[in-house]
Amino acid sequence: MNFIGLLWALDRTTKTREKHALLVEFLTTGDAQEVAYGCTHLLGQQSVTGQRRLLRETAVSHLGDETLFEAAYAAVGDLAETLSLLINDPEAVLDRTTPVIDDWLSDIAAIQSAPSPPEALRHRLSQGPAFANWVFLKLWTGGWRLGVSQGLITNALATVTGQPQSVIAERLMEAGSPDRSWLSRMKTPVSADERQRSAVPFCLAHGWRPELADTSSPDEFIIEYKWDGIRCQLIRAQGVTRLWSRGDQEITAQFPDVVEASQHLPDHCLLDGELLVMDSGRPAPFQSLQTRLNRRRVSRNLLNSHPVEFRAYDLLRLAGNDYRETPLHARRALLFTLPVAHSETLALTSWEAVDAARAMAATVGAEGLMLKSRDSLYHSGRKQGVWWKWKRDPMTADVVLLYAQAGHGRRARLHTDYTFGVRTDNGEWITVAKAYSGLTDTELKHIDRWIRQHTIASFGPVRQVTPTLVFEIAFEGIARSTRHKSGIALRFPRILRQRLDLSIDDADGLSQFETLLDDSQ
Amino acid sequence: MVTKNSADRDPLVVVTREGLYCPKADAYIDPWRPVETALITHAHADHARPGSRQYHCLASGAGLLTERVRPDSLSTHDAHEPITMGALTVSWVPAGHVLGSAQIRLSDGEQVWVVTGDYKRTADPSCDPFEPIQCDVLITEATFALPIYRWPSMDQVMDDLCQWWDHALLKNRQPVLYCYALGKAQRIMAELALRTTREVCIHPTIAQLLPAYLDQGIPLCPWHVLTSGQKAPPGTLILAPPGAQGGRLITQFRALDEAMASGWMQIRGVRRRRALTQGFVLSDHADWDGLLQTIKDSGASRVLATHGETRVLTDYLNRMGVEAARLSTSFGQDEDTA
Repeated sequence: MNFIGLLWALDRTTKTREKHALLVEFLTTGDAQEVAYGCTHLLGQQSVTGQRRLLRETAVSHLGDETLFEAAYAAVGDLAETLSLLINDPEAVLDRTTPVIDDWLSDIAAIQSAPSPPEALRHRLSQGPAFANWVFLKLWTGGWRLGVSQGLITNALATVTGQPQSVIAERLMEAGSPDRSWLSRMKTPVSADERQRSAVPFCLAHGWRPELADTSSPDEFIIEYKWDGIRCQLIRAQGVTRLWSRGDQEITAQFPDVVEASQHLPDHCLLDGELLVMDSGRPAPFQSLQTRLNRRRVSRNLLNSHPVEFRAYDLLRLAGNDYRETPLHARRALLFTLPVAHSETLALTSWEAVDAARAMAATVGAEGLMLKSRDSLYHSGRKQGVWWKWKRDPMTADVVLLYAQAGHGRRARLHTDYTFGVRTDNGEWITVAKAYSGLTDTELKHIDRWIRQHTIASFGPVRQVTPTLVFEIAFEGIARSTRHKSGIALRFPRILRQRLDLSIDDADGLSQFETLLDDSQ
Repeated sequence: MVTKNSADRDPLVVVTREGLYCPKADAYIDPWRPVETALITHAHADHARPGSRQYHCLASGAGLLTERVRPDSLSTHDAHEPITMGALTVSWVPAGHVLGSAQIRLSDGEQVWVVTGDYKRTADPSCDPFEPIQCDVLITEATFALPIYRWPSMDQVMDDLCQWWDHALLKNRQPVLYCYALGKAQRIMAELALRTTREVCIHPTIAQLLPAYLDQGIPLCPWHVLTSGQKAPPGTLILAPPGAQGGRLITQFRALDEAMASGWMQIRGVRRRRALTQGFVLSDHADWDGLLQTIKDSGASRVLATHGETRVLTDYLNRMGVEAARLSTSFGQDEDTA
């Protein structure tokens, strides 16, 4: 089975057990290079080559018509898939066994260095079957949408190597380049020396359930604020600092200020914490952090206007000792001896006080509370009954559907991406949020039909509809924004429900959002 | 050659509240409300609606139209037979969409207009093949008017289908193929009859339409009719309309392998939304190349698009220097017919 064969089969099943069997078959029968490259790509560890523009240019020059390309892309909802359907050889036979990755990597290099990359890519695609082209192009864009999670791959690797899943998870963090020895490296436990340099699987929290308060008392927990930044492990080894995010991505290069500030930490330590943009001593809303993400170069100006702090809440390694099996309260005691900003323990003795602190979280720039058992060990993954997150209640608003666009992936051809708006004091409509999730498939279908019937104008794939339907949306935060015409930006907006009982006159106005903004600052 | 002005001044077809109206014949093509005279392209529900007084259709389509609409009065015509209606000569020309489907050709001696109805240009053993017609104004469908829609060969689709079928049986699953009950199901049965000795088990709504095919002498593969509380005979594939997914006749089988045959299956997201394991790209409509070829073959100086991706098609034709516009109709509202 080659990588195409694996994806071909994965694409034809919805059952986890079958997916597991297919991954195992691929790992045992696949070419070593193919296995290494394929797995790391499915895990999203291969850096995306950022060639979307080349793909677009190729499609447009093939069709000789940009508008036609945009219409096709809007219908398919996936750039790699669109291009694979536009350019292919319908007669070509799909080879699902011969290894392809080696050839493909040299094809990619050749295309990128060709005098005209779009012409070279077009020629390459015109010789392949559509499905193989889709796989080939997905290597450039990432985002498989196959329902293959990291857990599923870890599981298959565990089955094949005979190693426990925890070892595999640790191995994947420090797997190195996807060469022919990648799979055999998975079989070797991590050495002590390597361990000093690598991140560890994150310990994750469950959502708090109010009934837990009936059987426990606050002093069983270490309670701290839940910071609304980026979860991150900071590793200091051999005089070098590295930062790892939850997605197993190394993000060191994006945060030179954090690296700089970590110079005083002792060697061989590993801390767990949160990256936060600071604004006069207080964490700024998550939106400010977004301006720092995914930049190739971080300018001096940006470092000054959006300084980032690493706020530690756990210590996992110090002076070569692994403390993951040490109780949390002892780990925190050690943490507090280090020269690093840390997340304070809140002294709360009654559930009333906890609830009050949760309600006040926004005033210190937090999104709620974390409750961690005092004696908890640092588990790998989401273990039940140890760590809890208790978010403050989301804010809500009743807003009106103004624009809709067809979705991507399994929502292709259904209008499911909504833009909502409210009226200003002058009665003018202004958009405030985009939201995608929160409705059932039946509701989506119903609303899709309504949208098709009530379109008043189309801008490419976007339909403007008569302002009629009211939806209740929830969001985690609100911030001022110079990028949006409304002057506000909502954090993580999602649809709670359609308000069939409300007309547009009952919906909120922009002034209500202004009030929320004042409250949260 | 008819100039733009004469087609404008003297149109052979206009859109009214009732449907596509031919003023010079006082007749409607595929009307969506009851009228006096209805000229029918084919028996699908969005084109053939009940309630009109006098129906006309292609002779080979009479069986299906009767089954679907039960007209009080029906005149049938042979392909290409010229019929005089008012000031127009009207004829039915095979459209290759489903059994008895036709394009309608209208001429007043000065201009020729063609209403394609739905059509495809790929071979189909269950109906007569599409014939290109030269005309001044072409009124075409545009269901799949996007360059991503280009149909694979029938050999390839049927090979894939049989492979999937065998694989499902190997896994002890009952394969179910969703396909539209009028046309698509019988096309698959006719293709199977050409290639294999395989047998299918069909949903009652498909069975109901078989006599019309048998009357026309279309060879179909052997079939059984699906009944409640009874297993499908071993080795058979179930053919059922898309609406039957999740219904009792289908869910009585515990281990299912569900697939669909439709042009929409070209897009992965559409297939996955229906939680299908496999999609077969098999359409009774013209693909992008088929639409453009038909427009070219017609030599029409003006193209009007009735349903589907009409905006994409007409905008594209305009950019290519072909005069084109959209007509607002009630066709093509049921995606499953594609």
